[in-house]
Amino acid sequence: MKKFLVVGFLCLAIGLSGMYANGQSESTSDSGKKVTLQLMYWDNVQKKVIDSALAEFEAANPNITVETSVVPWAQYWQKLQTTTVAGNAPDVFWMNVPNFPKYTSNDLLLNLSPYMKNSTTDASNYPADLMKTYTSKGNVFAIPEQFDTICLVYNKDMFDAAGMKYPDASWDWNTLRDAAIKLTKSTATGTQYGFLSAYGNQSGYYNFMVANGGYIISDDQKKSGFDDPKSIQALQFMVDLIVKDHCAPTGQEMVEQNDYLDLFTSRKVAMATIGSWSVPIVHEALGDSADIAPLPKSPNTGERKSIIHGLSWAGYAKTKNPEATWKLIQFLTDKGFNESLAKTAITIPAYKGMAADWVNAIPSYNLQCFIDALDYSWPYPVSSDTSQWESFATREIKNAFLGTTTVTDAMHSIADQMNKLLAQN
Amino acid sequence: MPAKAMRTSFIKKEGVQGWLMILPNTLGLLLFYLIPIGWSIILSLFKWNGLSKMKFIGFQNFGLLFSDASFLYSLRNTFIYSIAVVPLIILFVLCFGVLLARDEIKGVAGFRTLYFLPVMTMPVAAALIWKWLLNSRFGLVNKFLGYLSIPPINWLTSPAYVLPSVIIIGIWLGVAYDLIIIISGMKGIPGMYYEAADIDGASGFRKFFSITLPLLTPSLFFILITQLISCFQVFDTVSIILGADPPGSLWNAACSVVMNIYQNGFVNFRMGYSSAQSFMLFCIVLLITLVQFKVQKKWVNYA
Repeated sequence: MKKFLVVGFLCLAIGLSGMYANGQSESTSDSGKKVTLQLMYWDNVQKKVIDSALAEFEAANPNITVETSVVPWAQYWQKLQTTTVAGNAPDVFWMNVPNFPKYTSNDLLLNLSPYMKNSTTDASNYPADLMKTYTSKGNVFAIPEQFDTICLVYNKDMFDAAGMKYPDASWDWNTLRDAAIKLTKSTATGTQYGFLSAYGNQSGYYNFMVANGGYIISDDQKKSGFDDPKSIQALQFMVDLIVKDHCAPTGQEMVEQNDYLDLFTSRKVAMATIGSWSVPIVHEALGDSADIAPLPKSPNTGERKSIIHGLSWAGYAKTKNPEATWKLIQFLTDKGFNESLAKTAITIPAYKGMAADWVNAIPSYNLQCFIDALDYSWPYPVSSDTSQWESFATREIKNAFLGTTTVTDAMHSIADQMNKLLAQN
Repeated sequence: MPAKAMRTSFIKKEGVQGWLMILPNTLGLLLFYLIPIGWSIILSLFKWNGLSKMKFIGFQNFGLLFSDASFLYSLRNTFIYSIAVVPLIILFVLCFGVLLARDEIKGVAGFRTLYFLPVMTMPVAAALIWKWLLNSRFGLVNKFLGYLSIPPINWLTSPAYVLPSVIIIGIWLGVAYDLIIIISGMKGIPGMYYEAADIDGASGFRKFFSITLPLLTPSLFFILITQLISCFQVFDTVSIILGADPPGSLWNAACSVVMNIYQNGFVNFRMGYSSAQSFMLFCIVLLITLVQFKVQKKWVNYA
């Protein structure tokens, strides 16, 4: 008897706590009544623009309140996944290309196509390539907010001090190396390096691999391109800048930084490759003493390539307020919000015609290079397990940059592991 | 008997009172420990990426464990970490304890506070500070070594030194808490033993080894058990020192079992496999603790 009472009490307590949780998440229906939407994204740099846009949105829709959370990149996907499993994911959130296949294949994103049909939102206002990546089985599940491409950034002061010409469209990897060697010198505060030959994938070695005629993953997503001789050659060039020419910060120096780009923004390096999202950071740190140039061409192919990626706004398939969710997505992908994004120079808005505003936002920088990169862009490589192979690829590549393994071994090891993983699907 | 009287007599029963008193804790234990443990044991038999349908695969996840280099490295590293950290903590705790247990030292309370400070620090914050101290070019540690004409060491980027770095931080964090236990243990030893030893003319060392140490064994046993368990669960300091997606060589050299579980579960989203690892860790810790309880009869002195 005693035992039953105890167990009964325990069950009751659990039941009560469950009911409490249910009561909390319950919200009122779409029409007219008060609705609260959860919004999640990761980039603190955009917080100001998004916050002021949301204030505008709430003023126009007095029945909708938006609660935002900015979750740092390191925890973002974990948070999104755990809340999705628990059934209380945010209503509106940022989606990126690598994670899109996983979420759509499990029916977790709100189908936006029916809403788009009955609204003024027109798919042709967004870059066709990006729209295509966010479409699954003929339906649109996310609308791009921005796109990003990669360019070369350089410190004008260091070029002036050395009496050298600034980088331009004629540069290839050999010009880059010669200039980097000339710009490397020891100073009172340590070595000044010519070029930041970094292990970032999207802003770094991916661009070099594909410009050299290599690839990252085959079109059918079955085969890794890391062991392609041209891919290996490209990586070898980057690592040689460090270990042979000594004109780039060592792997150790980069690993010890929280963000290796700090080496450029703290005036220790003369050139680096950056994504357009890093422009505000560079401008804040270096002001007008930096400028942008296109990525140098590969001397082996005579071509340059820039990885293109764009993140988007998506809705949660099981949202309790699909109408309000759509309203918010529509607002955040519409012309008005894109305009304010452009004017703050934070990121290149995806909306057609907005790029010019972004380019003009920092007149001293040749930001047009990032827009021109659309002409030689290469889509961000993905498969259904992108995060898994990206993770071990990064590790092996960093090994090569640290010098604990050779480039060839690292690239073959990545390709072997990646091919094994890709064969499972 | 009237209903009301029956109710009071029911509540008055000692057993029921006991249950009611531990109810809040039991609920927490059930919700946050027992249910998740049970759930993860079930999960370990499935293939599940967190979003897809769960697929039953029997013991395949456990079979994978022993051919997974990353898991084996993490086991090795965790063993090395524990074997280094626990004895050193006990050594330091005894040395500092002997000094800090003396009330006659001026300002001893202030010293105790200082030595206790690391407990108040979040391990993550501590690891971040240590990361600066250990920086190969600007760190204070290498600066001091430089005064001793020792060339700079790549504490954080060399596979040989990254685990020792984590061990140093682990010791620094662990000593603080255990000092409290050891000091109270030392103060609990009756003064008459020492008086008797003084009359016999025993030296300080003799007193320490013949009185203090044997009578401290219960406290030492407690420290040994709790430290070993927490060493096997080391995560936050390793995670900060390694950072996101560290070079593979550093990962192999320093990643701990829990770190590997986290990587598999919440980065690669292999929930089933990561649960199988958790279950293995659970068994290992359980086994070690059971052995310790058996062996303690030989050396712990409950005077």
